[in-house]
Amino acid sequence: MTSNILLLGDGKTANDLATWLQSKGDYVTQYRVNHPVDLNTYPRFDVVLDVHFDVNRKMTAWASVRNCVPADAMVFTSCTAACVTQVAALMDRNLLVAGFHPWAIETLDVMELARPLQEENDDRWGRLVQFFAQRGKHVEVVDDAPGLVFPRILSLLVNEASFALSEGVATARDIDSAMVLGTNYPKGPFTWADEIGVDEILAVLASLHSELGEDRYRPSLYLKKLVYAGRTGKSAGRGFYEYQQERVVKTVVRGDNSLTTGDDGM
Amino acid sequence: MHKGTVTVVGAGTMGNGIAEVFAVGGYSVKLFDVNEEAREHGIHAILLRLQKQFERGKLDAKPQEIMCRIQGISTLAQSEGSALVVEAALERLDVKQDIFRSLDNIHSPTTILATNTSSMSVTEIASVTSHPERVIGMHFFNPAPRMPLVEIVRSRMSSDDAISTAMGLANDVGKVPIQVRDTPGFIVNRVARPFYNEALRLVGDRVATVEQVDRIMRSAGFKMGPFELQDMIGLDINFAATRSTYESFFGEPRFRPHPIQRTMVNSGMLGRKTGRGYYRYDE
Repeated sequence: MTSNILLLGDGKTANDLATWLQSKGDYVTQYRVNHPVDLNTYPRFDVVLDVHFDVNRKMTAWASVRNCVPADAMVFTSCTAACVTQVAALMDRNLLVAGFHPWAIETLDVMELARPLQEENDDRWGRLVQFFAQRGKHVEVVDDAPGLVFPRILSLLVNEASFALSEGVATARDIDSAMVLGTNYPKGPFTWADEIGVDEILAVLASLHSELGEDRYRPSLYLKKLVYAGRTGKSAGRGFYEYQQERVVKTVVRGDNSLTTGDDGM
Repeated sequence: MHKGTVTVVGAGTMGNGIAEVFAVGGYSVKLFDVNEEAREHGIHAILLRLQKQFERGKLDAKPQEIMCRIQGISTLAQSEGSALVVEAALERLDVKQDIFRSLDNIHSPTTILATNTSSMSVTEIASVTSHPERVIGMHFFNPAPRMPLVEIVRSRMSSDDAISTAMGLANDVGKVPIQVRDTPGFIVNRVARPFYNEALRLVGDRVATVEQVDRIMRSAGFKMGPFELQDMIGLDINFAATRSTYESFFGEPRFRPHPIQRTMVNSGMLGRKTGRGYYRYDE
């Protein structure tokens, strides 16, 4: 069941996913738009995983790798901030595509997959479910909407907490503690957002806001300002909280079937 | 050592839970309820819980010793001399305001008067008193003896002294007090709204099923999914909290209740307590 995987994207989310796939025995080649490599020297890819949340970035990455992706490859594309139906249409090739989300890949035992409208009756879809099932995930196939289930609910919790914070209801630490101690949440919303990335949280909200057009999903201005200021969370050294800069370990191992990871920047 | 007296107004689930917290913490407790039966029932409920804890070795003192510190009272006037009064009566503004008017007359301005309201404005409750500076919110969570959090709510008129005294008292009985401004839903009931509301929306839009949402959220680390948790809380209670937040924010769309929830409430399927909610418990 070992697959040769092309992973599109960089940053913590991509690195965590690469590590997880390798732990399952897969060969992972990470492709970063800012540091392109010649993919023609690599063996044939069976699976493409795209962790970019922004549709434009997805398309930029796709444009540079599409010719190296065989027609029978499976594609998983992050749907935290897009409908997979839209992404599949933009990819403009008759590939087997599923939406997924790469958040907390090592801790979640459930993998959410979304089916694009174009594949409503596609009987090859079982293969996509199989891919994650074989790697120990319980797969839940949900309908195609930005943010699927967990990213959507968590982002709305973070958004509400962020509104409360900017209205001066309580301090960030107190809001986090209250949610852990008052409702048994596993983590406070701000701690959680800093771990996942404030930019990812904002992207979920912005996408729901534009796709559904409802004020309900309007991101708090404070979330936007954090992202404008580059305070995207723990891996940036600062988000809702400040972190002691941890040294980013760089592993750059080049060559066939090996992992290529770079800096932690976006 | 005598730690002083705390009066709890209302002997229901929250009231008797709060009474237990202070009694176990070494305070003399007066438990008031207009209804004698409710008062006796509340005191008995405390005894049963203490006995259970004692049997499990989780209680330092004997249940009887703690029970000796709890006294049922039938008039508010008997609460005189308390350092703190915590009101945990019905969630109705007129009821609470009546109680605070009386308490304000009975107690010297140094007694802290606290409301355990979860959905009302502490400022509005305090507004009927002549010493609103000593009126605050002390919002305990259910079950009060087990949940560590207490939201200490500062109204528009609360004094720093009242807030810090209440923080100290909560700390002293082993709780974690957190200061919050008097805004609808305070912290927890407000920030938690999307956990239920967005889950309902996802199900309403057929993005996922009730069971799927619960499985996915449990996998993310929540002890219970949004639907099984509503079943436990009671759908009517949860719907009331959502509705009150929505109305307190003058119809802010983020808090808009979902019609599914009202349909469920109207059907009488209120969760575990009726044997059926989003799931069945009667089989």
